[in-house]
Amino acid sequence: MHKLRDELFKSFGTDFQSSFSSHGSLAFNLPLTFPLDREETTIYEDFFFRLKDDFGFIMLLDLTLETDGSKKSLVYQFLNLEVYFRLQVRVDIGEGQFFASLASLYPSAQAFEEDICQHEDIYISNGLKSQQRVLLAQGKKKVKIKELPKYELPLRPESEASEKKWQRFGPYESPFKGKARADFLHGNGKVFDIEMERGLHFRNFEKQTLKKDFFHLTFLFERLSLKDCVFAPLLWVETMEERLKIEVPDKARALRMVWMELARSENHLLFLWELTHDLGFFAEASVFAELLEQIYHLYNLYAGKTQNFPLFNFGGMVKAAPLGWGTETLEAAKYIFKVLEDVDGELHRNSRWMKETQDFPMSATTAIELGITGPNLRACGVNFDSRKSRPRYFYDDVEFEVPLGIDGTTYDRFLVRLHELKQSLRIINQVLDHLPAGDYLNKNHVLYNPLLEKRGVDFENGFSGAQEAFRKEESFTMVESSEGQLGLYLKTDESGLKHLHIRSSSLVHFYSYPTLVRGGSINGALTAFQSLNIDPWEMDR
Amino acid sequence: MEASVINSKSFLARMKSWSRAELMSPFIVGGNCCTRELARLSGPNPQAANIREDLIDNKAAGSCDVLIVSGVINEKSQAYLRELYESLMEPRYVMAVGMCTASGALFETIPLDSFLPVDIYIGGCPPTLESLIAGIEKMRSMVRRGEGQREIHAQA
Repeated sequence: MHKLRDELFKSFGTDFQSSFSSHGSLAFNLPLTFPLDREETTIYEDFFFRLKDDFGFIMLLDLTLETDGSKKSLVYQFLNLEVYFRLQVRVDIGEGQFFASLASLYPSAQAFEEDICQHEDIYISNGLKSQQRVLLAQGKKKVKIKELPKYELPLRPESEASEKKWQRFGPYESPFKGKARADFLHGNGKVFDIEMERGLHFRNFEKQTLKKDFFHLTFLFERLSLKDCVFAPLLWVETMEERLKIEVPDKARALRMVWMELARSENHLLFLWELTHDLGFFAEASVFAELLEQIYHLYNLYAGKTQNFPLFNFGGMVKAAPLGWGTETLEAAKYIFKVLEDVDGELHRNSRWMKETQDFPMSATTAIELGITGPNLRACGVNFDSRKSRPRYFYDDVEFEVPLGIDGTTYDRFLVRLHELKQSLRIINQVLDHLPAGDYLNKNHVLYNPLLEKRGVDFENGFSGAQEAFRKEESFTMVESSEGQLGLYLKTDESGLKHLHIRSSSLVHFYSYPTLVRGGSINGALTAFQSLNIDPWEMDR
Repeated sequence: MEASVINSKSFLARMKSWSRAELMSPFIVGGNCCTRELARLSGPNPQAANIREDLIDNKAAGSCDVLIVSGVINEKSQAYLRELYESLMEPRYVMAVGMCTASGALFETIPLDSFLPVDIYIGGCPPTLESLIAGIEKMRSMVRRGEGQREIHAQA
């Protein structure tokens, strides 16, 4: 890792302003402003080309647009998967309205660039099919720079051409269930083209965080994802703890691990239930639903609620685990593990299950280029899990394996999640067996306030401490959530939050769907959408 | 509807609302945290034994009469919801689940009753299973009594 950092610094450090940020990452500022002339364009293209080819930054993790008055700049995050090294590149685009697309070099850039164009008054100068704003209502604000030729499929037999038709699926009917709308061009049971529309849950999350009070942000983060209230608030709390160097007691660290794994297993159970239910395996679906209830019971015992409850506080947890909760969790884990073994065997023996799910393979290189992370990436056979590559808390000390798929089919995505669920239960068992003694909350820091433990009170008084938390700083933090890398880019000033951006894995998975299903069967395409497990609440933000 | 004199007309009216109440077919507008709680109703839950099992399966909107809406409403979903409401079977009932739909609370979005008539609100972020069951039971009794059928009154 250090070798890579030195080499990077040697090659680019003299040309560009650069700074070492936190452990395992480096930041570059490109001294170029748009629009570029011919010489600058070659420097610009050469820089990204060399990053990918010579230095192994094969994944574009994130892209965000920062505005400072009238000045705009793009912040790219690249990842070297082999040594888990992150590189941040900042490109100033001045006051212009256009920026160059990186989609030809990094296909995953399409998702982020389109997302930026939804939120800001800025356009991409090359490479994209449509410039229509999907987060707003159709017809309200249509912007089209120029007409580009429509994508045409190379293989199109003439006999089938006459039977092709456009059909609308969703947004509220199965299997889309309020996630998105999809228009399929299909004929003879085959998908020829697809147009997707998202933005049904757009609520301007990122901009709203800048308006709200600092201590209200935890409430918002609890409601970022639809499927859990664990990873997003944990990421927010961790980011602030890292900045202010707040120590977290061992007991709180262990409890956080348990909660992360509980949320992961709940997410995977929800996925298994939805997939089996949609394919008509009602007996198996009811078993998964029953297992889900086991986990909801644990949630109820801890917080009195099954969703959107407060868990994390700066410096620890909101409250200690109630008496006997650990024992209940251990028993539930044992029960779930036992039942899963039986269901797994039954599904393996079912020929219809095997037939309907073994479709739509995806190669490892395509998955990396599209920016897919989490179980969907591991289903393609890529061994990448940040719990292993950069262990935090006690992930170093517990024993667990990272299950991998082979072809990246729907079946592989199912199998990887099933086995990850078992590994999560294994981690929970190990941590609860060796739960450290001590306090659940560190109270000696700037952000501690006793009022935060009681929810629903007015936070107007006594929070001068929060002001000390802010200085001129920017950071990008990530957590291995149940569906991939959830990231948070945060820029602060002495006056407060300046820019907040969330890296959502569901957004990337959504934009990878058309490439996955083009040319496949229509029935399988609908199942494949379910198998990507997209979280619309997190995707639209 | 509680007519003291029972004749063939009032009997048929009662019969109609009774059958409507027993065979309520809801259409769930979901994709958010409240939907997860609604999905639990169709699960193996002893509390929710009286609720129909196929609550979570969305059939064609034309064969449904109850619209259960949850989650934030923006300009785009507003357009889809209007379209959906008009395709429902008459008489139509609307249930607003959760805080976002009722008032646009946390994210300052559009409340549902600004553009659709709402019959029942269920509060909470998200509502608990108990309050969901109570809300559905309340709606059922409302339909049985023949209340809230705006379209029918408007026609007469």
